[in-house]
Amino acid sequence: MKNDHPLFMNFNAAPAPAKAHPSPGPLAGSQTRTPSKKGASTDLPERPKRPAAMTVSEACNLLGETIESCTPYPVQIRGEITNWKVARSGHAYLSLRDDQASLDCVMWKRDLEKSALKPADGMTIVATGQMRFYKPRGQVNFQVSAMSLEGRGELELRYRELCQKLLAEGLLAAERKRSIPRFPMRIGLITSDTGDALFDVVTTALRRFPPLQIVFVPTQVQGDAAPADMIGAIRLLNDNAQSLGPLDAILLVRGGGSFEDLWAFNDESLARTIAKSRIPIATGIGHEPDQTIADLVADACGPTPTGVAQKVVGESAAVRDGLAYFSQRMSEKMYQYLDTRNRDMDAAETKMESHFQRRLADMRRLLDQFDRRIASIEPARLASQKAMAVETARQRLMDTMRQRLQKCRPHVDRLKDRLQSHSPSLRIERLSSKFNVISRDLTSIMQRRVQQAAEHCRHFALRLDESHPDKILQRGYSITTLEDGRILDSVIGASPGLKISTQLADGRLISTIEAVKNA
Amino acid sequence: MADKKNEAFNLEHTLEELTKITEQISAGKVGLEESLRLYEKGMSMVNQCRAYLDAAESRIRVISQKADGLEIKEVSIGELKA
Repeated sequence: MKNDHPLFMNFNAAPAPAKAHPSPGPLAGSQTRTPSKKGASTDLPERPKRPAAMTVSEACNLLGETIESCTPYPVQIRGEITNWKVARSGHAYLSLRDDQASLDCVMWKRDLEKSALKPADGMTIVATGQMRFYKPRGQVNFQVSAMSLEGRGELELRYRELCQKLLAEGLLAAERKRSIPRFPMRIGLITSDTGDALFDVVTTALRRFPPLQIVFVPTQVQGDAAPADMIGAIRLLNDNAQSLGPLDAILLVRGGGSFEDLWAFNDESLARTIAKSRIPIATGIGHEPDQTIADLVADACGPTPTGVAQKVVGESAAVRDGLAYFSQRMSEKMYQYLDTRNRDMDAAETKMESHFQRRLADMRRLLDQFDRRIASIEPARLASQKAMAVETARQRLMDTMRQRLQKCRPHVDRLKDRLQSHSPSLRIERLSSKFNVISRDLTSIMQRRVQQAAEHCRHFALRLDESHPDKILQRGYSITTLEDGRILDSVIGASPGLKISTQLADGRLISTIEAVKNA
Repeated sequence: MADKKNEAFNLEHTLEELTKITEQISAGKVGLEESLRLYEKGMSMVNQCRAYLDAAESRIRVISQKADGLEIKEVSIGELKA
């Protein structure tokens, strides 16, 4: 602080303790000027009656030096760019602001040219530079020597740059997007195996197309390792078509998240891998309308994971409707044609017949004329000869015509039959008669078996009958019992004097044993 | 395996063919014999598609690259929720 500055000297000169010059506001970082109290050893001149006012230049100089010496250098300020303007001189003018204050800034051309950042309104930046006081206008401003983007701004810049780069290479062009079949039969799915996206996508897809086959590759979807993981998954699905079967499409999805959470999908290598994939890729990333680079490069994209599943997977119900339409339309047309052909044939037949009838009538008239002429020359013989020849010719003509008509008919009938063969009624007849045959066979088989069973019964009844004791007795055998009723069937139980009873066919004999003789 | 059977069958192609055949028959420019041949071919394709939709069952496989090759695991939809 220059204490010999005229301004200071004026103040210092005052005998009465002067009010200290107010400190220059919040910019004061280093020491403020302190009035020299060395006046003790100096003879101060008399304070003039009225202090001389300083000039504008002097005031500005004061301000300028205060500001420039009181503020640290360099200093960094964080704020949002507004009112960005580059003058023809090449110097840039802007304001940096936050929600309460704003500061005018300038950036000289040479610094602007060196800047890697292309500044624009709305960007949140950190500006490096120094406070300045512009004397000609008496204004404070901040001279920016360098700028950089803050945090998210940095990411947004990289996003924009990559977009531009890929756009320039033509990777985002609509023409290079491959079409996906309307009704894919087998798809690949790349997403995290935690989170809701997986289940939502699978249930949506299978609900729309129950026969769908899904090949799922679980990957990271956030963090530094995510892009490489997803690239590996895309390559895996592309390279293994042999063992997995042909894939109609791949779904690459991730549930909702912030711009930073979804950052992995803005990776350049991932974008290039998506572009190079032989299998078309459809993405459904996050729940916001903003699109990641992956969404832009992909062959198709949806607003959410479920959304892209709905877009890519066709409904089997729609297929069935289409099939019903096709078969109905084809059948209608075929029957129409046969109808038309038949009617045409009938018409042609009628025409031909009437045509030839007329020709024959004409010929007959002609022949009648000849008849009469000949009759006047050689009546009987010539007339009858000619008449016979004519009659033969007529017959032949009629026959030929009839034959030709006959030949056409079967052809039409055959075609009709072929069509009829598709009708179920033939099949029903065939099956019905088959059923009758089987039913008859079954009846006769059952009858025979019943008969056989009856035979067996009769046979057994007979044999049983034969074995009845009465029949045996009638043949001359007898049954001998002891007094107590036990049957005597051996000489062992017998002894002379025992009373025995002998049963014959028609009665009993009571006797006493005389003697027992072994056989 | 239902998969092997369907390898030769491509739903998208078959539907495209069917569209063409129906148009040809509808246009009425081909002869009756040819129309009947197309009709039989078309109806057979319709039956093929219906058979595919009725028979084919969904199938979810989880794959990953292991050191010794590709690992393939069949799972049910319930297992995915876990």
